[in-house]
Amino acid sequence: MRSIVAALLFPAVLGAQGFRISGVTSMQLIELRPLVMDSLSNSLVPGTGESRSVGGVPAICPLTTGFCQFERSGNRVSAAPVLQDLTLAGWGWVEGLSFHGDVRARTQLGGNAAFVYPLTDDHLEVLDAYAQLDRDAWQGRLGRQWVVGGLGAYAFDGANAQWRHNEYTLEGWGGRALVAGLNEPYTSSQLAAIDNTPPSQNGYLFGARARYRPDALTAAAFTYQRVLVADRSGLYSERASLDASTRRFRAAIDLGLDYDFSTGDWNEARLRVGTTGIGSIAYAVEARHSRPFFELWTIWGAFSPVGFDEARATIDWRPAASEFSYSLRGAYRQYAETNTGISLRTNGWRAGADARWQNASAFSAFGSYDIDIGSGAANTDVRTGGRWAASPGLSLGADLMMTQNIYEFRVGTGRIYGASVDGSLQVRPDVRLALDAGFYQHTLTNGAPGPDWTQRRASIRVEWMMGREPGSTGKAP
Amino acid sequence: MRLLRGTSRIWRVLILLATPALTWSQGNAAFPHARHAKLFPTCSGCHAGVPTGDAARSFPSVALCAACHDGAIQPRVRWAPPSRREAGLLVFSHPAHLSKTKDATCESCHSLADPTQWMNVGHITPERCISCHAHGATAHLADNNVCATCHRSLVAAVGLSDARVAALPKPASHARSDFSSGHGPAARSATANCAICHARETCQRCHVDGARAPAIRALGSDARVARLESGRPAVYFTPADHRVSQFTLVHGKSARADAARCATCHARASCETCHIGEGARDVLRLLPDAREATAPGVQLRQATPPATTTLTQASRVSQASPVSLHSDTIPRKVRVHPAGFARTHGGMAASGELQCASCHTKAYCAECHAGEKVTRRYHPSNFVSTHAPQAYGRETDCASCHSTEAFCRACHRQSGLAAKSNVRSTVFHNAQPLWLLQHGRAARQDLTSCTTCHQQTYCKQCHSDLGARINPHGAGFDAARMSSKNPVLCLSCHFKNPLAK
Repeated sequence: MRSIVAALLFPAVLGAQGFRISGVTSMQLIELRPLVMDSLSNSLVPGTGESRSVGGVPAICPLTTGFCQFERSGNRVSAAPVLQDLTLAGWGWVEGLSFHGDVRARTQLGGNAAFVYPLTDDHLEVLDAYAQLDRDAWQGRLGRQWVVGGLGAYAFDGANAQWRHNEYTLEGWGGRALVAGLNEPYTSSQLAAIDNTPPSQNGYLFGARARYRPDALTAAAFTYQRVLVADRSGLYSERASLDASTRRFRAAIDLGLDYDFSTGDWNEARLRVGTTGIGSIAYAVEARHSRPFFELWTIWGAFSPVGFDEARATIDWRPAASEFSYSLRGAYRQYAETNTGISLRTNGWRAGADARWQNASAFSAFGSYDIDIGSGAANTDVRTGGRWAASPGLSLGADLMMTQNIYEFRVGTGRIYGASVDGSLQVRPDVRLALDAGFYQHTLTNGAPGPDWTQRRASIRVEWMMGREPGSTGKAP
Repeated sequence: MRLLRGTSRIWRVLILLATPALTWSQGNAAFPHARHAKLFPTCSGCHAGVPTGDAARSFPSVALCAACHDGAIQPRVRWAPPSRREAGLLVFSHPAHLSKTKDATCESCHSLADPTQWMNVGHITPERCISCHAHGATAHLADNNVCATCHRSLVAAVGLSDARVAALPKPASHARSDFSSGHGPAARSATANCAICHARETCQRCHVDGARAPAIRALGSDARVARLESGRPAVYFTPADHRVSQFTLVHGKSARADAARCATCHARASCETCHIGEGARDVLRLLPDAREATAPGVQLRQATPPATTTLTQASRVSQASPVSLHSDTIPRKVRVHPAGFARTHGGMAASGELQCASCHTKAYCAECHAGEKVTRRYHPSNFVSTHAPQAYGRETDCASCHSTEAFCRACHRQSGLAAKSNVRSTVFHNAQPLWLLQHGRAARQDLTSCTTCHQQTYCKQCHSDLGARINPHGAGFDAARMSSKNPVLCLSCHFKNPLAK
């Protein structure tokens, strides 16, 4: 029966020796009171001059008009985005040949037309759909796919070939580029709808990667990739990355470097040294340089963004034979000189701690505190919660949280108190139901404008699978 | 009672005493040698055929017994020479031994402790065999015995009942605490020894690869053993090399080197608890699958997922047979990835240090990386109200999963935060009156965040030839380099190429 259903849904699996289709159906309820512009007659607003306040909220009262303008939370709107993800895999036509596909369908049920959850107007999206031929020494892929590496995740429509020989792996790919994080061509309507100066040309992506993995504990990879403007007038990006990791010398050492040829800057440089294994104490220190990367279809890269240097450390303590574990973390960052002559915060720091309790059987609880002070935004966040795993297939949990937005460039300060519950039930070995619901109370302080985040949120999700894993019969031993 | 009425008291007593003996003798074929002491002075009188292997003359005839046990001289008996017995465990040839052993007599082996007593005979003891068969063994059940010298395999010993099989003596080595973990090499090198007491089903109670392991297949199948093993739990121990701290990380190498060893306790489904992807298929296909597995095997279990994670486990493994943990087994949770891995996995995944594909399909990565999705819950609940500092501080690379334009800007626009037009807003940025003057530094430090609300045209109002012509390029800006990569980009703000001479 399942085969028939699968075949009706996906004719490509008709001839397959095996197939697997998994899906996640989810629906969310989101509420929001967006920030809207309002005005009052000058005479109704106390004070004089252009800068006044309306109930503590800053207002601008242009002398040339008779009105004061201010922003306030508007009417409550809601959205119920519905997502249907389907993952398909079929194999068995020819040895090593398989087909993979990920399809995502979106829509929005009910709600207010004024509030469209991002991308829900893009009703059908093919995340990937490719055929793969796998041999002992090489692998080939053809179709919509994506590569993940030190440069991030890039999707494209094209081909990928990989050759493996002992500890060496060479990989090359190329095809029509898709916008990272959007999976649409550069000239797609989705991008044009949100940016009034979208790229006019598609891009073609080419990349290559060499990997060296002498043993299970050491590996390194070098990646080079460029996105060419379709009319060959230039590049959208040209980048390279070097990533290396080792677990030798009784340490976990990770190095990551990203280089942008168009600006001559390092976008990311990260060296992380930590302990290995699962001993009772694990710690890591990290030095990092970060500078934002922008593709060349935007002008942002020419605005000379600066990066910051950051040092961070984490320590995790899991006492042997104890049900408790603890974690401490901290980081400090210092921005590079901007040469603007403007005095503004040039550093940032964050610190956090959490404790977890994991009962040997079914109960667990956690508590955490984080503070993040930096340029642009700052907040503190306290969370606690517990979870009861009644069985491998049933769990229930509850969380409490309190966030204080201390400072932010664009929205005001305030506190948010929240409570949420969640649960999951493994209905069958291949069907799982999960749901959560929460309520959040937002209190704006200091008269800053901001959208009222007081709301209810909920989601329900069904995860299911048909078919079987390659190589597994699905029968009990 | 009528029978007893005509007899004297003495005879009545004798008959009553003899009845149990008669009953015993009729029910048991063993001949009461001791009761016939001195009646038969030599063994060969009754067992003349034994030295030559003449089965017909190896036992006395019924007529010979009846000569005395005729009901008058002695009570009748229903003794009969044993029929040809089914094969037992012992493999022994009297003619062969007598021909090879000088001066051997029946008493050499069959006399019990006191050889001076008449007819004091019994079965040969193993120690007496060992005293002649010099193979270094010091005792019958010692490890260094060569059992097949005297025994046939249990499978061939079809004459043994279930009870006899169950009662077979257990060597002392089997009681050692480390026997479970260490018996493999000995079993492979001396399978014939194991076969004396064990059949295939003995091993298949625990060994997942019982159908393919040569040493186990060599034992043969036996219905008696199958009956005895039925319902007994499989017992699994934790090998020493599994206890090292990095075993989770490095076990792939040893698995590739000796998959057969893994197959002792792990069926394919066991590994598929984690390895649901493509990367470990070369090893997994060497392990027994569900059809082939002869034992439940070690059942790994994924930690109960948080309520908000997505189902990724596909193998449907059920507990078909009981399993008990060996006394040295310590159930423990294996942390495949260290704490904070979600934030730090990029480099490891990119370098190839992690073979992600061994456990994860591309779809797993896509759930986060290929655009926005509400189900993976990479972020904690209500992250939207706390994400600003993390975005400013680039705690994580938002662009790995989210398009700044399609996701961030769209949401900020929906919530009223994004710039609604190309005109200056009223009270944004906390209504700081000097924000316009301050924004330069803020923009250079946090330009990515700026772009989540502002579009390029907003900035071009001032920073372009069309606007106020305020130069946005900072110190060290390499116009030539950027122009060489995309000369069209310059014309976004400049009327003509500023680098043209």
